[in-house]
Amino acid sequence: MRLRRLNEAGVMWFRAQLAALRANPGQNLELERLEDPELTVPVEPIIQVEKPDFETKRDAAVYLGSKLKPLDSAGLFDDAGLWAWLALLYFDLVCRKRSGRRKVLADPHYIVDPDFRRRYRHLLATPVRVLWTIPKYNALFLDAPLDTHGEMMEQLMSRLYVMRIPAVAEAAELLYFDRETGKRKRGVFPTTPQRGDLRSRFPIRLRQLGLTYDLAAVSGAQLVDLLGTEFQRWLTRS
Amino acid sequence: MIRRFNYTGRKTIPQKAFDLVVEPGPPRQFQATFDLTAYEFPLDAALYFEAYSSGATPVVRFPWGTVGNPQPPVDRSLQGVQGDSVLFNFKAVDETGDHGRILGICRQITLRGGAEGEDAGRKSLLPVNAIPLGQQVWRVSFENAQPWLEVNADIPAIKERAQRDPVFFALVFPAVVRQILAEVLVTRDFFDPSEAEKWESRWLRWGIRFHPDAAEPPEMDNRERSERKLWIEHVVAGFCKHYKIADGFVAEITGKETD
Repeated sequence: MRLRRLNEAGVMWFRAQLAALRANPGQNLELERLEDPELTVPVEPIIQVEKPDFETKRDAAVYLGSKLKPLDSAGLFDDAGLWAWLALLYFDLVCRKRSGRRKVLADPHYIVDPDFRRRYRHLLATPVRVLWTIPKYNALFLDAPLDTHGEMMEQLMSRLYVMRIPAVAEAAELLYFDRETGKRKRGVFPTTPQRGDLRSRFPIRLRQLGLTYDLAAVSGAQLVDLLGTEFQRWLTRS
Repeated sequence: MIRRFNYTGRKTIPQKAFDLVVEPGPPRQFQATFDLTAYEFPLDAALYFEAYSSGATPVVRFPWGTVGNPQPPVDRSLQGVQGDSVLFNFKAVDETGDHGRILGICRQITLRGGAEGEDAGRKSLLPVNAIPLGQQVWRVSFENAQPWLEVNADIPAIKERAQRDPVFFALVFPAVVRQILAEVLVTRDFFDPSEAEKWESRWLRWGIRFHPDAAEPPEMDNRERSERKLWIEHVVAGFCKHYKIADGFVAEITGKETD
């Protein structure tokens, strides 16, 4: 199918569909509207997309990242119509039916929200953005189910240093990702601050270190070293 | 009130020490001159400029030799920086130890005659950046160390309109001011106008100028932050009064109607 974007009417229609699905989680979307000229416009240059069965954010990021390369990257992640159309195309994957019902999340998970606090919630745009910006050491973000936003995305993607300081993603992966299970370690997001946790202590310590050290030049391992002893226990914990 | 202490001896370099200009392109490149003689940094301290813009785009870093031998890199292209408004950080770094230690820093340096229309050496309170925004005309972004006014690059002469058009000014800027001050005082719960380096403080100091009583924002407030919201409304009203925004708007639209 040729890649398209929803126009303004299309985005409004999609919002209404999402609202209707929340009211009636058993119903299906009208996917035949994907090529409706009243709701969509074709994207230039011509890009053909298929419907592979993505399981993880990485699956989707690798596939879509490759497909979208011909497009101008400036403003790509703010293109609400494009990402809404993709969310519609892959709706069965970003909002899977379980026991015949869907749990429809808030609109920004399917339609890019212009507010910077919610922009990162899009279930397809953000994985692509992560893959392009953090090509290595992105397991914490991408090795996760496609249809859930997750604490990791919510906590880290809205923080600029993750994208800005190359060593941050590597250090976070060294500390908090369990290579054996392929998942993040347990307890990295405690509700109350704990020694070396990812939710509270990691960002605070990074801010402190950034005042003293040239963090742009350190490696992930060096950053772990600088973070100090309270973080060391995460290196061995599973 | 929380105060921060600088135990590291790190020096803050004022923006007036720098003169940054864009060289004709493409690709768009920059050149920098600066004077660090007052700071007595070691001659072997390494120098870096870091360019960034609004949006969560990566920082583009430019090694600039050492204090004793500044060497601009051959490639000073700003192509990797999204949008046409660019800010720079500058660092002098002691690299003799295991980890580079910052000896001196200057943040948010603007280009001379930059797109924000400010002089070099002054921090822009609200840089304007033209980027693709679909059907949005403008929005405020807080993603990049300070608020940015992002405008739709597909609209002809949008940056000029944002900076000089009385209609744009009347319809957009009071909303922008309200949104930024609400972000500071309500969302971020920040109320201290005295922090020299923080953008939140700079906006609060700016707001105090327009408050009818030149009052500082309320430190103590209820859960709804109603006192701070009232302070914001006073600032917005003072801002509109100072610039006679409604009069300017009427003059503009009636002028157009009679043309």
